[in-house]
Amino acid sequence: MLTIADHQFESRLFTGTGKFANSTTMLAAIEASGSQLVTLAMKRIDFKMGLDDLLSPLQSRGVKLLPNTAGARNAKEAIFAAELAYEMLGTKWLKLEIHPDPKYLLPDPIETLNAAKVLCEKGFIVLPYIHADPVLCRRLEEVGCAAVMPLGSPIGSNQGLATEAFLKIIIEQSSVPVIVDAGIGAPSQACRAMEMGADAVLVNTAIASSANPILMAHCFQQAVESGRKAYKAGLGVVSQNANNTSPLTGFLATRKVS
Amino acid sequence: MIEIYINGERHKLTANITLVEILALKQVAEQSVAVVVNQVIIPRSEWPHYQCQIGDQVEFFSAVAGG
Repeated sequence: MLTIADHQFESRLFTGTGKFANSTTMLAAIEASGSQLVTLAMKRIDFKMGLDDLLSPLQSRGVKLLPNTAGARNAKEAIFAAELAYEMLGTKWLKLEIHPDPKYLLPDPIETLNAAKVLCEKGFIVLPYIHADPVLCRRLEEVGCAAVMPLGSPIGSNQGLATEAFLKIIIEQSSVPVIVDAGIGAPSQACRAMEMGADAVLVNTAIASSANPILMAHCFQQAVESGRKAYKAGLGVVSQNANNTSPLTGFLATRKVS
Repeated sequence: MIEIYINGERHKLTANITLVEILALKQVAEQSVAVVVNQVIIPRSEWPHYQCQIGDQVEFFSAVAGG
């Protein structure tokens, strides 16, 4: 069981709701993933396009909502977005993301830390999306973040765990849950993150952009579960030399060949 | 009649129209939106009696799919 703030999750796979071809596929994929926490964005309503009721089907499935602050370019905008999300959804849970650069969508560490401090003081449950920076993770813990969400690689890139060495340090040091977010492109990569001891992973693009998102969501569910079990079981030691798994003496060596 | 802006578009509406009345006019379900007037978030509890003034910039936000 994973506990974040006061909430317990049976599933360690969190999912996004973006990029799906339609809401039916998105809901079926979330179902197949077993996810109990899903991210949402916010937007000014386009009255010409009509309103797509995203919330009711998610709420009826009992999944917890995690609004994000995507679009915020600095701490001030992110704090405004957080207040907007609270007013809209009645939740103080927040995926804090501040990425002013549209090409790589890399998070701004200074603005994120500043926003996190203010939002934690206001009683928000802050889950910050950040680079895999162990020092920043410690600082975010100190200001009261409920978890940290270091990236594996740029958002939506499917490049996997490019930051693996730093994720290991974060996992080793962190006293709040570590959720590897962004860039996970294959179930094997999610499994790897969990084997390393990550508390959870957040996956969106890899599921939504698959030719079969529902099957892929199920694959991620199994990979995350398997990775977690492997972590608990304990991986064997990696060594440079071979270590025989079968006895090399007492069979052919002692046999007389006539 | 007064002129106000709703999500950037100019509208001519009756004087003292409330936010709840605008939501009804726009056929927006109240439970899933947030309202900002002149860049200030207006709490849900104030919507029924919040009367719009000439030139107000009213913005409605809703949740959309995202990662």
